[in-house]
Amino acid sequence: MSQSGPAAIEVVNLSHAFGSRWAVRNASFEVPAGALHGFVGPNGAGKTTTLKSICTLLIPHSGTIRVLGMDVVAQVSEVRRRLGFMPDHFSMYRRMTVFEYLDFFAAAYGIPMTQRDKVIDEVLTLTDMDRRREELVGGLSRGMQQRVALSRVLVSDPDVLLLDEPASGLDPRARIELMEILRELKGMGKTIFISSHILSELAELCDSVTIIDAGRIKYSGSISGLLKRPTEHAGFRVGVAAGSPDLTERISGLPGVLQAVRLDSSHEYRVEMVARPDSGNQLLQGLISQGVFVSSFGEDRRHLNEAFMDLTTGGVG
Amino acid sequence: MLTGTLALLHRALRLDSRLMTAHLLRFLFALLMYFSLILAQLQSYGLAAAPGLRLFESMMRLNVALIVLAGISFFATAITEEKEEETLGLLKMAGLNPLSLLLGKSTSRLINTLLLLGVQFPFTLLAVTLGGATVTQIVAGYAALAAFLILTANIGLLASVAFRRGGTASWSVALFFILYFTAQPVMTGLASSWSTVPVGGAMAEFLDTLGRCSVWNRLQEIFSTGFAGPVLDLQFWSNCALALVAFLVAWGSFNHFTNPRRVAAAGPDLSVRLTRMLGSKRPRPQNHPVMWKEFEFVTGGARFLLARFLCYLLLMVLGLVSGAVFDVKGFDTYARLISVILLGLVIVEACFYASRLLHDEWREHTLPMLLMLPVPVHRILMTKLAGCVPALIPGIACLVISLCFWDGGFEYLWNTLFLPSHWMFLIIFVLMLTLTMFFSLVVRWGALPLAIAVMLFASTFAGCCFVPAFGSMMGTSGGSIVGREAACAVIDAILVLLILALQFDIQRRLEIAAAQ
Repeated sequence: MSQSGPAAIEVVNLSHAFGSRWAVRNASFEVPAGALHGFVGPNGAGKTTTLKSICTLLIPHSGTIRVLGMDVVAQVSEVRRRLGFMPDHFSMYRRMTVFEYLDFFAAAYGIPMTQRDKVIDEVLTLTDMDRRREELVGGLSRGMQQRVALSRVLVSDPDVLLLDEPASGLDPRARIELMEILRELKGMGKTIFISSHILSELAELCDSVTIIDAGRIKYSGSISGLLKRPTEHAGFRVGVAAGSPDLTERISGLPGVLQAVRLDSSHEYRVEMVARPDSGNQLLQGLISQGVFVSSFGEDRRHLNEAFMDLTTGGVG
Repeated sequence: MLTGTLALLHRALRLDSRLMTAHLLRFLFALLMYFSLILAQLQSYGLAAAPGLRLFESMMRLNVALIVLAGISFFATAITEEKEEETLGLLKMAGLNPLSLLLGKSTSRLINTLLLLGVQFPFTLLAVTLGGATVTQIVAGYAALAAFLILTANIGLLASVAFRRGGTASWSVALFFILYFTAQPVMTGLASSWSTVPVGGAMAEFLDTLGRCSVWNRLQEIFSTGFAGPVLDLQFWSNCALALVAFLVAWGSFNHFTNPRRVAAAGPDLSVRLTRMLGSKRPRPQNHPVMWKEFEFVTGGARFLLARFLCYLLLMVLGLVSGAVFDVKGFDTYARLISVILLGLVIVEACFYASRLLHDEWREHTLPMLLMLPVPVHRILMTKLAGCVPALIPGIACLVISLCFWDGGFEYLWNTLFLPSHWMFLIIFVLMLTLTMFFSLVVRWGALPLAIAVMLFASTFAGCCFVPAFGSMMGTSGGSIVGREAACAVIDAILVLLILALQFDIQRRLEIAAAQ
């Protein structure tokens, strides 16, 4: 679970209940500074409760949360200055223009008047909203409003960004554009904690991920770690030329191979071997020596959705 | 058509049965009835004449007040709540025609309120036993109330069809009530002020007919001893006829006002359009951005401040000039009348800001962003309040000026600064504003009417039981001014503590609302 580098967010044994129902129970995870970290779970898993606890809006029943080393309960104002939170719903002052909206928040975060124009210009350029600065927020499309919300978060130049379902309700184009902006922000050294219930959406973007289900943390670590199968053996996927006969028996007979399975009558096989550093090399050599025409070869990893389904039950805490 | 109407009615009744607020309101209503009965019982022990009639009168007046409040809040949001939640289109897609929707949405509310009237009827008959009231008076009183209720429900329905937002619909219904209750007396007053001879002929007949259509005048007639008029009078028929017209207009214009293209093309709301019309940009936020936001977006900013100041000034000058030129009733009467009107307008204005201050943030889900600012919640709340205070300056300034035109008005104003009994008015006013803010975080609509209802109940209760008992304890029965002022100072202190407690709870609720 632990990652290299100092933790931007550190959650230890977080628990919170609404009435008799536990939304989060003993959740612990870390997000390294400068990481783009995904927080995934089914609906009602406890994502928003965790996020709101991190961003100081909710005081947890037990456990500790530190943002950049500061306790979110004891040092509320300091944490709020260093952290930007974008909620999952479109909460905006709809009667303000885009500029007024950002100007208001810039002033509220104590940015001097002399610097505000520059900051707002930069943020609007980053989110590609500079041509819409005089438009009313309420008159913008959903995608545009989401950009304005992101601009609002960025205006105070926070070190840590918490984004709750930022892509929900956006069309594919707006989603891709939002992901581009997030990559740029990561490049600027920001720590981004992004929640979603769609794992595949985050897989390409995130360095690491935490999966929560029914209020409990099921996984926290790198994406590559998540995709590895929970087995002691080494797994590989071998693709052979189309029209080849069934090679299951021939592959099973190769040295070090424990099991070979043909996948759904296709030209692909999943091969399980004794785990050794050179087992991939050994398998490939064996196949070639047997005269098998190998069209593809790689480590057998779980599909993201498969991993997600394995870890979660969809139940609520 | 009937299936759709019944489905809506069924849904509304089920929802109502699950709402805690609805049950609390009914409980409050039952308490009021019980309280009226106790008062009547107490009066029957004393020397007060006709306690039954007093009970009947108080019940009827209370009902009028509650129907007015229901009209502003309950009935004015029948269709607007579907518009605001964007569910009207879905209901239309389900095959519900305008008539089904109107009947389904308004009938349940009308039934609920009529049931409240019906439930009281047997209790009110106790007034006959207590003495002073007859069965005919009681039946005529309830018939007048029923007609007024039907009118209120349909005016509310029409407003909720015509306007996009519940707030606008509520204010338009409030405007209707102002016209309903004041048109005849104001017109009569103006006619008699501008003429030294009594008004006669067709004008007098018109004013008389207009007066007879008002439920208030009808009730006054019913309350008179020896009432033997018809149970169903002009007020009943005119109110029902006007209700029918309102319903037909709502039905006829339903598709026009709820057309999605019209709604989509409506653009920003009135205040934004007015701001744009008035030209130049708003000033930018300086050191107190939350205060800036409230001043610019809740109260309308400097241009609206100036516009309001000119309106108040115009009203005051017109009133005072009328008094000086016509001088029929005496200048002092005009100065007092203008002061009362200005005071009423300042109260309405302040209540309006109080009802919007937190409710807008709650409705637009902006509380998390606001409370995430690196400022303590109490300071955010204080700066929000401070942002609305400048908006009241024009009204208060004109009020102070008009008070100075009274005979002894300046002296009265000066005393206000020193006498606890004079502070009480201001403290009660602040309490009502705080209560409005509190309710705006508790109920989806109707915070202001609810605050008014609670204040009415509390002030009646305090006026009848608490203050006399407390006054006698402090020795005011002998007419001692010091004792009275001391009693008032203690009551002021209690009220201030209540305001502080409410403020504390508002902060707590804000934090909860932001986290939800």
